[in-house]
Amino acid sequence: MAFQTKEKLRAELRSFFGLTILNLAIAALVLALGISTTITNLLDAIETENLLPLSVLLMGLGVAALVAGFYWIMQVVQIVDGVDDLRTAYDRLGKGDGERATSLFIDMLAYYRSNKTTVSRMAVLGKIGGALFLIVGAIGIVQAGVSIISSGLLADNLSQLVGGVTALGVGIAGLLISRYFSIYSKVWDARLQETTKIEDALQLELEAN
Amino acid sequence: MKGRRTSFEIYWEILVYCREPKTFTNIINRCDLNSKIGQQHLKFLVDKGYIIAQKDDDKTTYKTTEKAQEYITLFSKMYGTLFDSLPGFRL
Repeated sequence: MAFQTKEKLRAELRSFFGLTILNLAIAALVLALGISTTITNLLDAIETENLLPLSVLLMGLGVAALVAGFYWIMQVVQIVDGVDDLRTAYDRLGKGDGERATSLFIDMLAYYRSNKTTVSRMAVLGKIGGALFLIVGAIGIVQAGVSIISSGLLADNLSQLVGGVTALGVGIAGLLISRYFSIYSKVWDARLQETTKIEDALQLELEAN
Repeated sequence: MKGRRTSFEIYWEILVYCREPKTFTNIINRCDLNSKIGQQHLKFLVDKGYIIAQKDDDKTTYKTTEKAQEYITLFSKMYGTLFDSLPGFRL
């Protein structure tokens, strides 16, 4: 296989693997956020012996985030497993190994065909997770701002501010990862579309013989 | 790990694998096919003259013919071009 093609494959597999791992990190954070929101509100309700509608809403959201995070992690793990197999196949490629490279192209296309829906889902979940963290981050920053204005620069207020900024950062990262996944999907969808043209040419070749 | 492959992709895999004579069991194991689908694909390729069945002692082996080379080359070339474009980002 040509050096340039091999380099391209390496870069592509590495980028997709990196994106998947980042996606896994966001999924884990969504799961953690879900657990923390549910437990915090549940403990508040038990402590105050008063179940406010807002607490019920937040607990519901927390459980939803927990379930979504768990489901998301399960999906990403499947993808990681597949991409890892492809990377192993790539590592076995030698110089001038044209047919093994074609075999790897087939595996990659077959893999995307089978996981197209999951990859699209990961992009959507990334967007939702990113938006969720942006909201949490914005609320945290506003609350910290209000506390700083009213009671000054206290350690509690500062930690709340840092938490808000961190959540905002995670949210932006989630949205960016989702965007990259969409770009990746577009390239792969174009490739799959191109394979239908190739199939027409191959069909002609088969009919000619 | 095998995802969803098209018939054309499976033909290519069988043809490349059978450059050296292979038994039916070898083929379905290597190309990750069930017996029924394997038989269908193999029959198609034999009918096309891309593969010949040879009887050695009591076992039948399958070997790719010269005629299949054109298909193999065309397939490899066209699939190679699919990877000319990369997603526009790098991590």
